Amino acid sequence: MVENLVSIMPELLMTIFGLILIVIDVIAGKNSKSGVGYFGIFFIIVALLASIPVGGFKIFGFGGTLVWDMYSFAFFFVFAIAYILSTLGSVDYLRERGILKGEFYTIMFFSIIGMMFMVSATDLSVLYAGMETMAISMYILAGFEKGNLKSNESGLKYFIIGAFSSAIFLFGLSYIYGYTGSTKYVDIANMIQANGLNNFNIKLGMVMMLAGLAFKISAVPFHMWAPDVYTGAPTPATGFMTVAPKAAAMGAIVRFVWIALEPAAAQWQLFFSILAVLTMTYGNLVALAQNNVKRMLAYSAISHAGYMLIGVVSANELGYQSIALYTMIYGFMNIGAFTIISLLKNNGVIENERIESFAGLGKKYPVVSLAMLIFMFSLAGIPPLAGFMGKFYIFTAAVKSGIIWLAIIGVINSVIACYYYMRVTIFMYFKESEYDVDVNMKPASFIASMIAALFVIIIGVFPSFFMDLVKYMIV
Amino acid sequence: MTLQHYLALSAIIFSIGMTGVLVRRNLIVMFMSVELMLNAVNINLAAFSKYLNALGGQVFIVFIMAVAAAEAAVGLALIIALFKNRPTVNADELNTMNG
Repeated sequence: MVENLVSIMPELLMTIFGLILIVIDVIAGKNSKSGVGYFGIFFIIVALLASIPVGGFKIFGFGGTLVWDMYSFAFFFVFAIAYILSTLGSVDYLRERGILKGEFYTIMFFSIIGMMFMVSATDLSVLYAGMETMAISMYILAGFEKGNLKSNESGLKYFIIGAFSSAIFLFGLSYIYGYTGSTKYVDIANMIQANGLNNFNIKLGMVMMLAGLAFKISAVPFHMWAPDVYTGAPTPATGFMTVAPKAAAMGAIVRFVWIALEPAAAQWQLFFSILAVLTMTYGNLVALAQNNVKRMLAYSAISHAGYMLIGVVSANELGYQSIALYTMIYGFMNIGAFTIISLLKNNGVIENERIESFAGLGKKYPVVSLAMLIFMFSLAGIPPLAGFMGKFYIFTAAVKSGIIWLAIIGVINSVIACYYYMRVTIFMYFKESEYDVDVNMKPASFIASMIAALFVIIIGVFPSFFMDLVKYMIV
Repeated sequence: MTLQHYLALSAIIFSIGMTGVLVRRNLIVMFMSVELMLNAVNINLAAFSKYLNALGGQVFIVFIMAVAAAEAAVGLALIIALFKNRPTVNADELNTMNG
């Protein structure tokens, strides 16, 4: 009994804090709704500190349907980073649009609970419940700006395709249940061990289930929702949506293939390596043609999912560790970049996020441009910055497990990716501005982008410290 | 009736739902088709649960129904929010981002 409660202690704590956040939202005055977000930051830090695992333990709960271990904690850490950065970065954007409501932060907070359950699930029903908690919150966040047609469209597209994909996931799952008689990962692994994957039903089930999960990480060919959803959603929400759900789905996939599909490694490795190649290549090639920076970053988010999939395919400890590190780094650089994009205000006739808006920004706003430069270089994977180290560890993991061809494709892709990231910096520093562009930098978002930039540099310069941390957490 | 009958029924319903999502352009009809797909899953799980004599599948159905209800609430709210800005429920008219 007590063990059960201990195994969900972090989620329980987060739920209680989330309910308190709702009360705070009611109490807070109309103009001080940002306080809800700041309280959320405080709560999530408290929950994080309270759930620090003391020395490599694994606590199984509820008959082995979920587990709280170092791996879950590492991903909780990533979600907390995403929450803190997007909360700080969103306040000014939401206030300017007149949609600064407490719900934004509360829903983000509750979505994190779903993600935590996803990562710590060792049973498909827990995985499904967590996934839907996350997904429903994300639909609301995408459609948060009710008066804006783009935001409506984004929310609806996400909703229809998200529901569609979870139906496919469930149909596959029902066949797996029928074949193995259980939804627990361990039982599935035992069944596959005993009987192999020769049955048509289990093959169909596995493919449909993994396809449903691939929808969530926007892997090609299940990506068609991603560009529109990411473009239409409010920019801080996009920053959160590109990082946290992706990290959660990656964590869930890793745990699933790690435990349940261990006896069938060759099959799922083939499946995911095909997905990884398609995802990286497609995301990068289409991003080349984009003139809207927000949309470009949406495609870049697709290609980054491909890099993370290389870590899944490499199927060794280093691969899993480097996925956790990569999602963390990706959180810093991507949310930082989206924070800066969200503050861009073009007083001309074109959209705020068009690449032309960045022209001449280097002279007008040196600090902001420098931060944007750091994020872009890091996303491209230029050596002294964090993005390079993330890719380095992932490719190392791939080489270590002998899939060198995948690592080579990954490296080629990150070279292609340089073009469109560099294009932004070229516009910032080497082009004259054509439009009257303001950067509405207020303290909260300034702090958010500076923290992000600082960590991108620190992780890039001292990667071994962070890698040791992750290695200590994921054994 | 054997397990096969139930599986065939569920596969047919799932296919109808999937076709509905892919072919129909009315958002509400698409949403209903998704619900149809979820109910096909429920039939599958119930049949397997009875066949295997294990209760896990039936518990799962409760999960799915609860989530479907929550999803319906959010989905209809999103459709209403869209309808206030532009009186349409046609998915093909959702093209403000050239996507």
